[in-house]
Amino acid sequence: MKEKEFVLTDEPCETIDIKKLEKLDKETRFIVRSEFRTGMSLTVIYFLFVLSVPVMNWFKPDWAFTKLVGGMSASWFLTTIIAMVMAFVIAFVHTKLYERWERKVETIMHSSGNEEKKVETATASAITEKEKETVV
Amino acid sequence: MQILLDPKYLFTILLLGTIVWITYLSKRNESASDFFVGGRQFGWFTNGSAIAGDYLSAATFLGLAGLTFAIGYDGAFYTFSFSIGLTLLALFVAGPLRRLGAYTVADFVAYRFHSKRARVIAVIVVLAISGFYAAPQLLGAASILSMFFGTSYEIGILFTSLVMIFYVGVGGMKGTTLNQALELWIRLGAFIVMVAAAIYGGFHYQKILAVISDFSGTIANTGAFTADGKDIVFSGEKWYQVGLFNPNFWHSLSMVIGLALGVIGLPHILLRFYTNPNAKAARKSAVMSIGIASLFFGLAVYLGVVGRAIFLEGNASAEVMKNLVTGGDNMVVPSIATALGGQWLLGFVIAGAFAAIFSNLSGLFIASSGAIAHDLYAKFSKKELTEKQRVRAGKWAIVGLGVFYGILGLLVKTASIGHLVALAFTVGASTFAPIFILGIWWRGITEKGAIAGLVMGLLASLFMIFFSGVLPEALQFRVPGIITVPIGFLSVYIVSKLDGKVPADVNLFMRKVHAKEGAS
Repeated sequence: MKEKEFVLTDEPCETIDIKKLEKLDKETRFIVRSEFRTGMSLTVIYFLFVLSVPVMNWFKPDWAFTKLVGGMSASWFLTTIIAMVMAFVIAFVHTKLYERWERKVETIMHSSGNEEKKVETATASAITEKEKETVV
Repeated sequence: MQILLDPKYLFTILLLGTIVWITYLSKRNESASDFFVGGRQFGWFTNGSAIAGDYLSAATFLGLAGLTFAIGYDGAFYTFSFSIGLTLLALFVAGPLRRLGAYTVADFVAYRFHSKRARVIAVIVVLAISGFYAAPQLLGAASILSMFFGTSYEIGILFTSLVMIFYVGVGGMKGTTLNQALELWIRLGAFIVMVAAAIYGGFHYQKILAVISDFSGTIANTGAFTADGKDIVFSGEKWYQVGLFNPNFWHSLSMVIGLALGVIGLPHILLRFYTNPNAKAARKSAVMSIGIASLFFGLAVYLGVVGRAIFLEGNASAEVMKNLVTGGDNMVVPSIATALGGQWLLGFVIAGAFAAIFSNLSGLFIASSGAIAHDLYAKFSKKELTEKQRVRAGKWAIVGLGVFYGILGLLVKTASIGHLVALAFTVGASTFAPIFILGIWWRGITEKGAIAGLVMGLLASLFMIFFSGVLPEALQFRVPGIITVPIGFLSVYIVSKLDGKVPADVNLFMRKVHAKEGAS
């Protein structure tokens, strides 16, 4: 699994037809997918909020700019206060989720005896756990 | 001695003194890693502060409150669009980028596709974005020097360029990072003090929003400063709603797309993630910078609203009223400072404005010097360069950039700061954003696809900014992200699909940038 490392060079290298490209190894595939899934889920939530603001402003202006407390309307509140909190919360949750996942992998790594297969075993276990969770 | 008792001189001299001191302490840059990425030693707090310092430029410090003051809700929406990008960067780019362990933005493109051609094109894009970003910062610095210290525009440009050459040339990334972190807290401190003074003075957010939105008629004590001698007419209802800047939904959407994705394409922001010791610190730095930037954006909008309320009351001093009528958007923050806290708060704000300009410019200098010295000179030089020679090349590049940016600054004397910064964001969103997002997450991207994306994204952005007048009105956008970003992404995707030849080591690349550190 660890025979080769990516070399940082801009010297030309061989190319391969995308159709003939081997699948990613199980471990990397799992990491990429889980990382992307987490990022994408949070992005979808974030963008539902982000896009709701201009949609509301232009298609429901009466509702968006009706004053609720003092001069504060839903749109002013969402745009100038909630949006700033959301930007931070989404990034914070992402980092926390990633750290938790990393700790989980690390714990399993330490409990594994075989140095060579540490990462592979850890990820395999994490994959199994994930599959179990999905089944449950 | 008398001059030191003037707060604006006192605060500015203190700021410059601190810059000299920090730069002197961090002048030892023996290796290229020290000079270009600060020895990759900065923890999340310092680097998070520096990223926020890099991001919150003069256009942000002076411009966003000014925009809210002038165009009301649409100014707040502008700020909202700016606040999205760093979060996307944290979610999809920060960690993987750090794991790659390169020096510059062009390194990513060159290593990902093993392509010198892609490196050269990436350097051109870096210089284009940095040029469009640096020119308005110099314009802002020269304008402040001219307004508050009575220097000519040209002397202002010369002074700022010389400060930058010293600051970045001597301190390298180490000095730049420490200075940026300090400068961030100076300008954030200025905003916090201003908001505290506003609240103390009775300017509560929802209360003043109500006063402004209910206002309709002429603004007292403004006629003395207008060209026709009549008091300014103001409609609070229009200011309070959408439409003063963005004429329809599609313009709002285009602004969100352009400004949000633009952050992912800014070389001086991307470069900062290389200075962390690992990907974990890079992620934390991103979160920290988002927290600071969000707070900063919120305060900027608040101050814009406070400025409008002070203006509508018409009770401020003649100097403040004059500046708010004739000074343009960038004079709003200094005017509010004068109205709320007199000359001392004004002095603090001027130091904050310089801090914003120096911080942002230094990031652009270091990113561009890396592009020239590391990506062009060192990579295309026929002989193997020593570490010292690479550092020396970086320093000479900074001197050259000082001259180049200085000339650009002189050329944009009458341009709009906001327009030029929006151009930089548009170019970034349409060029590097597709390459970084797809390059990190999609194995199917090819060298030709990446080059096509960079070239088409750059050309489309330049066309939409400079020549969009030839298009039907429905296709003319102030921030044309809705047109240029899809062109960038689609160019990458379509050409990659047609080409189909990916680097043979793409799986190793994916493992390098995604696997847990120490695993690859």
